[in-house]
Amino acid sequence: MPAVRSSNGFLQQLKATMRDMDRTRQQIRDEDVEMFDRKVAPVREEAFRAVSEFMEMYAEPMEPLGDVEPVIIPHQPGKQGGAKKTNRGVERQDISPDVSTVHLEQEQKQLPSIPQDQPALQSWGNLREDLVELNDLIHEFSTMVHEQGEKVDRIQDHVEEAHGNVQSGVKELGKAAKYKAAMFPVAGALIGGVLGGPIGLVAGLKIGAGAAVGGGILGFAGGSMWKKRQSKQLDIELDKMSDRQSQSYPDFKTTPSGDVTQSDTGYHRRPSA
Amino acid sequence: MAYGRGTFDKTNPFADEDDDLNGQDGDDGGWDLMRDELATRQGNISRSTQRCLGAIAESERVGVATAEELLHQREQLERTEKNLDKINKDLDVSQRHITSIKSMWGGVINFFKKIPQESPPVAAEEETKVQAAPKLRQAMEASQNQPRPAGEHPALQLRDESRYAQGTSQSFQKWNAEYEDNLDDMSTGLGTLKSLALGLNDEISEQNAMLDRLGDKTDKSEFRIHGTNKEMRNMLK
Repeated sequence: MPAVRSSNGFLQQLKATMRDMDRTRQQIRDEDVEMFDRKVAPVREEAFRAVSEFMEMYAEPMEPLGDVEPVIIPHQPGKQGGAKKTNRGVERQDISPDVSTVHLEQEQKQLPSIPQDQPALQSWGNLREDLVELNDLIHEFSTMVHEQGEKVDRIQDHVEEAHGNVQSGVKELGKAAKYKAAMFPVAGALIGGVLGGPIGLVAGLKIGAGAAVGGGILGFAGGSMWKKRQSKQLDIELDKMSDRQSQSYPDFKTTPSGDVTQSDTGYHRRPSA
Repeated sequence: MAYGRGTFDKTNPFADEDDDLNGQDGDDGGWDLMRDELATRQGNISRSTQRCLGAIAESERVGVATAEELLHQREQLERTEKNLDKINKDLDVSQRHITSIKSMWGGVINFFKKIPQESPPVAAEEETKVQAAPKLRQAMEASQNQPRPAGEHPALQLRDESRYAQGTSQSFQKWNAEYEDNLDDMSTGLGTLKSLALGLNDEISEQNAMLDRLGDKTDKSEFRIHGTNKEMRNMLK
């Protein structure tokens, strides 16, 4: 809209001038402010009126912002279509706030809104929810682990105590087994005695009998030998005696057993009986 | 009712904050409003990101603490298992004693039965202990070694929202950079959290298996102890 554009230039100039006035106003001394106002006020009023009229006139057509890029992407330098330019937010920092309110309303109609990026928003929301859920989960987990930690503690203590008890129990059993084992030699001795006694007795009896018999036989044999020896000596002596008495008779003798032998050395007589 | 502090430059929406009285585009009011809205949103986003970062960091912290507790409990369980094994061995020895006490020929019987050996290869056990729960330890280390933003905890950092309302390109770029940094931090934090979670999962599974074993061994030990007690009582009668 060329007409608007050219009026834009005018408007801008006007606005700039008004701002200049404001600035100057702020820069003058306080005592001069009144005078300044007095001089400037009428001109200002008229300027305001003109501008507001213009704005009202052209406010509506400026509304459709279809041609204006609505997205305010921060990276990109500003995009304003010409249409926006007629939004005159006249800055008045101290005086005439009413004008600014008028403009404000108009601006609000015509401002493009920062668009909603739905997918991003959704994913952001999901992310937030997930994070919160995750946080809760972790806390719950931690609590459970902590509780169970106490149980594990008790388990460990119990088992350790049990182990100690079993160990002392086994030691006692070992002692008992040792005592029992110490009994064995005594028991063995007893058994040996109990068993060996009768055996020895029986054996001893037998041996005693044997010894007696043997001894008897030996004695008899010895006695017999002695007797024989004695007899022999006696015989020899007898023979000697009979030799001196009769040398004319032939040497022979008869014994009742009938066996007579002649020999140079003497008489051999078969032992009788 | 000042909406902004500077004019809105045509070419650069976030021109310098100096009052630009070049009389250019007079759209100040509208753009100021938008700028404010933008600033608010920036602030919101920043705060939201900070909260998320804070949540992630806190989750990580809690996770690491839980992991340490779990490791401690693992040691306790291992000690318990060793104790139970010792108990079983002792019960074997006691059985020998009982057989020798019970009957005359017990000693003879024992002579032929094997002697319960002390056989723990202690060195090998130590090795496996060091490697226990490697994933979890790794995740824990990774979390603890992570470079934190210098200074305060991310959740505690307050962002001055008015910063963003200045409408300058530098401040915006700064905000943007911070935003991206925050997102990066969130991403790394989540990565650490994931490995932490995996490690915790493994640890819990292993400890479950251990607990099952412990349960079985305890039942067996209890049964044997009862039997041994009964035998002894019979002997003493």
